[in-house]
Amino acid sequence: MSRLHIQHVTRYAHASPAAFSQHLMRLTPLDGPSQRVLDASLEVAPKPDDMERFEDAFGNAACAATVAQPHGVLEITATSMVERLRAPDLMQAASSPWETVAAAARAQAGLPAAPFAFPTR
Amino acid sequence: MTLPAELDPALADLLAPYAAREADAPYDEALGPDGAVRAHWANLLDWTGRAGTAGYAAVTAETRRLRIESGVAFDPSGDEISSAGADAFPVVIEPSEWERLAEGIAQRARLIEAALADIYGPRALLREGLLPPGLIYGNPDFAQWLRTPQAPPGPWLTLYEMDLARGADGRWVAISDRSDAPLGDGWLIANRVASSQSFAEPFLAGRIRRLAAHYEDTQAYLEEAAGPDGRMALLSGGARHGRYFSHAYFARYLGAALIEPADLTVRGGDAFVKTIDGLQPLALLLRGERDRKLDALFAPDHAAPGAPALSLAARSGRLKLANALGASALAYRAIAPYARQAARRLIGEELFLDDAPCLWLGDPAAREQVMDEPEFWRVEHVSRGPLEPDAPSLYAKDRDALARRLAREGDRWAAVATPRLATAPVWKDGALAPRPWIMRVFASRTPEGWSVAPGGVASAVEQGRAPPPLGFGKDVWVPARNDEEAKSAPSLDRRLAGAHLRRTGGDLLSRVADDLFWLGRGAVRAETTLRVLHLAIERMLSARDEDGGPEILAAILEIQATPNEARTGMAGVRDAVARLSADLHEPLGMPMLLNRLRGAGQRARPYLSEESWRSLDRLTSDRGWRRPPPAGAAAALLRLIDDSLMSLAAFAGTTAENLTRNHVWRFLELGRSVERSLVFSRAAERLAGRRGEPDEPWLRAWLTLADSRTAYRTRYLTVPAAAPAIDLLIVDENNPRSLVHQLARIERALDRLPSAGPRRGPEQRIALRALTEVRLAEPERLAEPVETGGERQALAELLSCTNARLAELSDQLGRSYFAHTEAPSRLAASGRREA
Repeated sequence: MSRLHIQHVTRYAHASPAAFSQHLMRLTPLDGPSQRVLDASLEVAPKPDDMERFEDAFGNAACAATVAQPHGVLEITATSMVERLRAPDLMQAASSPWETVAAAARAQAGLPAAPFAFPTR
Repeated sequence: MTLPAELDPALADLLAPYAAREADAPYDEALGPDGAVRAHWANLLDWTGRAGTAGYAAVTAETRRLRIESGVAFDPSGDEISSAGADAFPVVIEPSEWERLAEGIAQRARLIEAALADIYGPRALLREGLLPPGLIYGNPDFAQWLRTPQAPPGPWLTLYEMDLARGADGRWVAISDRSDAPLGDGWLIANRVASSQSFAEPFLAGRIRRLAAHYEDTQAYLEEAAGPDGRMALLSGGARHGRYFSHAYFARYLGAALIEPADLTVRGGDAFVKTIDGLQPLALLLRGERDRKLDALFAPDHAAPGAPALSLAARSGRLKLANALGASALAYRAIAPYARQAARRLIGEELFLDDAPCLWLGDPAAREQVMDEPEFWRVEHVSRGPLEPDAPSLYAKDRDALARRLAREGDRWAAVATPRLATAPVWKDGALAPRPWIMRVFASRTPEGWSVAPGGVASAVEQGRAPPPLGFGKDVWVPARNDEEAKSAPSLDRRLAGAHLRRTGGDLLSRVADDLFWLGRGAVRAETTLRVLHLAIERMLSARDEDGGPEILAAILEIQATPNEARTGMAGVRDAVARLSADLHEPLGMPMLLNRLRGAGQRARPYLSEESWRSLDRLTSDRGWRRPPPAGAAAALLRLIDDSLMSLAAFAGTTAENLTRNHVWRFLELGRSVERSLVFSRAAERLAGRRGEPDEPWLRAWLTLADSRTAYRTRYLTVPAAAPAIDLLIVDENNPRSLVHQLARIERALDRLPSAGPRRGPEQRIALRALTEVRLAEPERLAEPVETGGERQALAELLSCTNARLAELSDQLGRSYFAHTEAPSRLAASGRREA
């Protein structure tokens, strides 16, 4: 078991200040069989006038933010602490090849994975 | 087949093409199998027989005129609507048959709604195998990114259109569902307005059902959905969009604001329209764009600029969309192959309307069938139809390539076939001939549920071809039943004529204000370039050497032309003249200026008078500027310049006279004054910034360019001297050609804009500062030094200060009125002026 401290910084520098901007961020790790998120935070500078967190269609923790003041630089810092659990070797070892799994998901609309088994555009 | 003997001979003449029909001819709307006129057509055909070929020609001309007239009023491109000349001979449908049909149309709308609720919700159709998963999950219009646990706050569909046809056997078939972004109602209404006037006699005698009651109810529903005082807007893809006419027409009819994606902004889960009066909350949006084109944040590859995060406002429930985002997934033919089983499962009904043959090509058996009988099928996008520009052509010459492509991406494609169709009389070469036809019908929600507009837009089609895009066409008439009271519904056009703006007030969209501002600036830029060219060419020809020296000419031209160090002397002058008159890349050259001016004019056209537009049109479409005479052909070039100056003067004159002094006029005026101030300042820098040797020709050039030589002479009766010239052109507020006069105009225009309150806003403070600085300047000091050749320091400082303020002002105007970077007015009504 190990703990990872992750810091992810995105920085935009505009040639001339942006008056207004809207952003959609997916920067928070997901909980799952192989990991647990102990702590996660998202900071945007300058401070957004409006920030909405929600779960998107794929189950990601997404965040939409609006910065409504002139800014030459925008910096997004995502910090998280993740605990890695023992890898689920058994599950993976027992699984069929992905092509077979995808074909099965395409054929069975009831499977939760079905919507994701088709090509997107 | 012969026509019955008892038929009126005049009518029999007109129906002559019918006599050539085969015995097994398809069902015809007007004539029965025995050739007798069907009862519900008697009124229209009797009238046509009486009118005869000549009488009908007059009706055709009148119809065309009425159509063009409505086109002129609503289409900013100014081009004649291409369908204006389309066949207008109405199609009459028997009232009780129409009622059954209307039930079928409404049933179909209910089915699609139920299916949308299912595919974005419990997915019973998919889980039970009634719809193949690939049809939904493999469909690029299935808005996975939208999927939320709860249904949209409003209904899935508010408006629904379909293409409908009668088969040769007399049974109706559904050709396609237009359920994503319908809003073709404008065509229906405009078509009816034209046909009810040009065919007034049979229209009235036939007691044709009116559309008005249906649209009254539609509007009542929409207004209720928007809530008390809720703003309603219709979103169009813009003037170049094929459906713009219908959008503009229908928006006017409903009293909704006509907007484009860039007019929308979403803040904190609320949608707003950007107006010069600040951000105005929007309650209901009728969308004329496909859903994937609406949200630049969530679907960045497809969205038009503007309106990012629209889906967040839709999700919050504070913005209602008609139709809801995600509806495109089941548009066109997507549900067609499975409609019957879906209807049984979801609404527990048998479908009244059959579907035209349609195969979903995600199914391998369907792909094989299509490859086996290619002449029978057309391959079209399953949810978008044949006309979307992003649907790649699948009519590959190479059959194997087509088969491979379908195997790879068959999920997205459908094979459709039009069955053999019934015919209706079409006016052709002075007679009525039977032709296959189809129609678009229109349904919408009303407080009492789904309602179908009694009528439609019909057109002749070629067998096997996809239906033409919606436009003007044959009006579909449904007579009142015999036992029905003829309702005296309010007439359609009276509604249009009246001021019907209760939902939008006088909002001036920020985008339009921006266009008007730049239209004003562009007109002054063009005028300046023309004046500069005129003066330079005249001086090149002038006899007086000291007036025509290359140094002065270059300075005059550089008020507009980018300096070119490589060319000096007269060569440089000729080069600058050539660039300003013909170079496509010269920023203030005529080609680029006219191009931009035309664009801004077209966008602002709904706000200009017809006369203003015409003078602008004359100027910007002048062929002379496409290949202007070379600088050598001075006389021809001067004539072209004079013509253009006249058009510009006419444009300025008509806008000053015809535009009431509202905000539209103020933004145009503001643009003009800002640009003039900049130009006057540049001219002063170039021509009076240094004390020339001698000074007079420079000052004379400056006065001439400012059109102020006469004013100067009457006042000073001397050869030009620096201090009086500076007085006249910089600080004399009574001279409209002075810098201070233009700055004062800016200040006055700003004072009358909507945000002007008791305290000065940032843009007002900037303007006042610039004005005061120039007002306080002393001409004698600005004219210093007295020695020849010296730089005029004080003047240079004043001008650079003014220029900086004007740039700041332009930015601030953008922030305050066009871009709306500050908080929505609703949230910060009192805080806006604090900065």
